[in-house]
Amino acid sequence: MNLKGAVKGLSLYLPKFRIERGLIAEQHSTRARGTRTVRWYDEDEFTMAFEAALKLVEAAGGSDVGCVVFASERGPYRLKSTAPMIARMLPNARDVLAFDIAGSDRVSADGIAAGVAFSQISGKDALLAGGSSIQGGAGSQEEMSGGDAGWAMLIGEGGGLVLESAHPVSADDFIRWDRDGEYVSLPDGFTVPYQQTPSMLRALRGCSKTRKPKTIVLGSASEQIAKSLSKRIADDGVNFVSNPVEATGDLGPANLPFALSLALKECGKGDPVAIVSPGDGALCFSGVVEDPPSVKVIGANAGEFETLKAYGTYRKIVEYSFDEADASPIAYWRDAGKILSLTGGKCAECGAIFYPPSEVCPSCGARGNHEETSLARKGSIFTYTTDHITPSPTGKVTHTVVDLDGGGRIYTHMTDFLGETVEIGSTVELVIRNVHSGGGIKNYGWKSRIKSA
Amino acid sequence: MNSEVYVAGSGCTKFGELHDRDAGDLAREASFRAVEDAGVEMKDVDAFYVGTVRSGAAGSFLAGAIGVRGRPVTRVENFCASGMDAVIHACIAVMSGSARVALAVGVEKLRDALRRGLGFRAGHPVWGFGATPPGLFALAANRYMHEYGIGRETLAKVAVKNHRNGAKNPLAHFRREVTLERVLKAPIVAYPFGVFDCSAVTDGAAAVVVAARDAATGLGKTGVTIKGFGSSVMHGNPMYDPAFEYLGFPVTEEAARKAYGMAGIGDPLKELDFAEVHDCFTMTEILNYEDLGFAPKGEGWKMVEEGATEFDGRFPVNPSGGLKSFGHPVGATGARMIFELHSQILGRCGERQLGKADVGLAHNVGGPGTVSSVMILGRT
Repeated sequence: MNLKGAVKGLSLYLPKFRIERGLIAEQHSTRARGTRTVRWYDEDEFTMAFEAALKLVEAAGGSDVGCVVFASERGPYRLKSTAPMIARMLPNARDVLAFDIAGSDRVSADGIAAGVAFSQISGKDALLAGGSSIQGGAGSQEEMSGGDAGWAMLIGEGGGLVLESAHPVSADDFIRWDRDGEYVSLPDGFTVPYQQTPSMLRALRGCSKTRKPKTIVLGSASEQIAKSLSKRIADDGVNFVSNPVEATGDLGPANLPFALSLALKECGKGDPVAIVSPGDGALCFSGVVEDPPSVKVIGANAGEFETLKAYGTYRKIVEYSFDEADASPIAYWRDAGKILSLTGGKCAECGAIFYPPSEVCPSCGARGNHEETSLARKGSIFTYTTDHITPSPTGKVTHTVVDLDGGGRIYTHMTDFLGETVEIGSTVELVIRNVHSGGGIKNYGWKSRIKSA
Repeated sequence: MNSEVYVAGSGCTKFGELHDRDAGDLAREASFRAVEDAGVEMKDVDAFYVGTVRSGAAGSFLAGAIGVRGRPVTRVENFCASGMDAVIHACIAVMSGSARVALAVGVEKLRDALRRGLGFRAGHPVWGFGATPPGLFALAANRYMHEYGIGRETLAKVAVKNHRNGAKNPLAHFRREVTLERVLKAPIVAYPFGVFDCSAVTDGAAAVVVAARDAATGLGKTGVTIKGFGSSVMHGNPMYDPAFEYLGFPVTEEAARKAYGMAGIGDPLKELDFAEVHDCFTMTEILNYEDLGFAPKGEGWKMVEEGATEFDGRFPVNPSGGLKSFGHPVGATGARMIFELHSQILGRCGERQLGKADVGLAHNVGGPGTVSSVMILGRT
């Protein structure tokens, strides 16, 4: 089928922490190469997707986003949409079409299809975002092979990677599924390549009829699939690009945006590209690079990562959950808008900028005379402590009082941080994390992180 | 209005891990000690105030513990100032003429459940979550240390001083001296605070009987007068307030200003003989020196380095041993300080007796540094 739409921007987020896959493999009495990414104990599919989405929207400037799609195998809730949470946190994304696509290995490709369809109908851009947290229980295959990451893509009309056609292949695969929240293992021999390679090949051949690709982007991290496809296609002029699993672990649906970012770095103007993603069959897009879309790689994946030294620490991090006894979904619902959008008040009488917003100015006591103001997500540490009594899986939490650029002060926990002391005056950025899981919900809030260069 | 209020009696339990007694037992012991000290009977007391943060429920808890009915029993809660606020309200009852004799008891039973600090309820799922008392005061410590360049050693000297005083006090929870090295090497609780920079989770109670002039005269208990008091409370989110400097606590300054005004004190260091101040953490004591006007801003730490506030220094602070030695049964602490002032002024502290103790000040600061009360007692 023919399409009219383009990938206008792409951003990736990798958590700060890694663990040698060999350390996990030891627990399975086997061996493994490379490292896997490890989401921090306050990160999940939503927070990682949001990190990528926010940076992309900021980089895109005045993009007219009319649709937010959370395209992720899983979300923070088994039954509750995530896209509306992302939408309410973005500047100028009120009353957009926000929905989730979930449950399949192919969701990122499905998201591209949905985004293109939306932009064709509405003339507005679609923002896709996804998060992968592929963490099985202790001893699971996912623990050893998986990885954690977030990504976002801006789809719309205009330059970038212009998509011209799509070719779907429908099948009903068993790749990764869960029953009662636990992954179920594949039976021996009924492997992922066994199921996925034929569908991918058919989808690729369908797409190649329109335009023969020079680069084929694989939404699979399987080396076996890459080898097998390359053998069948048997064309030395074609370059296969996939996400190297040694660096991140297998990111599931997030493999596609990671592979695409690598491919776009190599592509020049006019290069024909195919993107093929497996999962319940396969979906292949064929397109051509008009203007290389801006590829923004964010997060601590440029050599700034930190490696966990022990398997036990890793399990503590990924299994941690804290239920604050007094928490209530009612209280969270009431304030979620102000929490997530980081909205403060500016007193019309004394000029004080304050957060959390309140009807009465904390400085001068004036009542009801303030306007809402959007606070900066960047600031400097006014003071701090590293508290060893605050609940955490690492035994201590650094608390910071941050003076935000442009006014306002916020008290946050520092995240992605294992130290004892920080420099007063250091620059930090605010990131959204799951503060705790009391009241049966994820209580998202802002934390601070040392700003990476 | 009857502006003269006398401290007719006071009493205090042993502070510590009192597993064999509940909050009612502790409140009863302190209350009966105080009325016996005043030479009255419980039936002669017109009004009761119980200062506590989390022990018992309502005023009924005290009424049941001490066997009174038919009279007002008011529960007072204001974080760490709860006990002193109970005493202040007993004074106000006497001043208003509605009571001739009033009793205030501060009590807290913490050891039934708590082992690692008080925790902190922010009252919101996200804003303020995870704060702890040491963490909140450590925010001030790191800022002060950054601003004035002092190190953990100066903080540690406060702990050494107060434990030295507490070692002599039979009612204290901890009765051992500590060395500077031990304080510095203790495990960190909330950087820069180690274990010895923090006051402990403790059980205890203290009570004070205050009386109008005619009642006190009749009892022959006119030796100690309430000279002044003051309280100040601000919003509970200083860590979100861009105007909060973290180099002291404005509520202490405000409470002190009122108390000094009422007592007619212009130069506290000259006109007071000693003070019991809120050393919930070592840094707090240094900030208190400045907020209470004992030292200029930014120079409170020098009083510690000079030894000025030692037991035999030029201005003794926390001769009882302070919260460092007594621990901090939250509601009990303020009343326990009034007990110490009363005892020192009457000259009944034995080997712990200060040379000159005619006028003393007691001070609490609590929550995240947002509630404070100050009282000044003096020889009549």
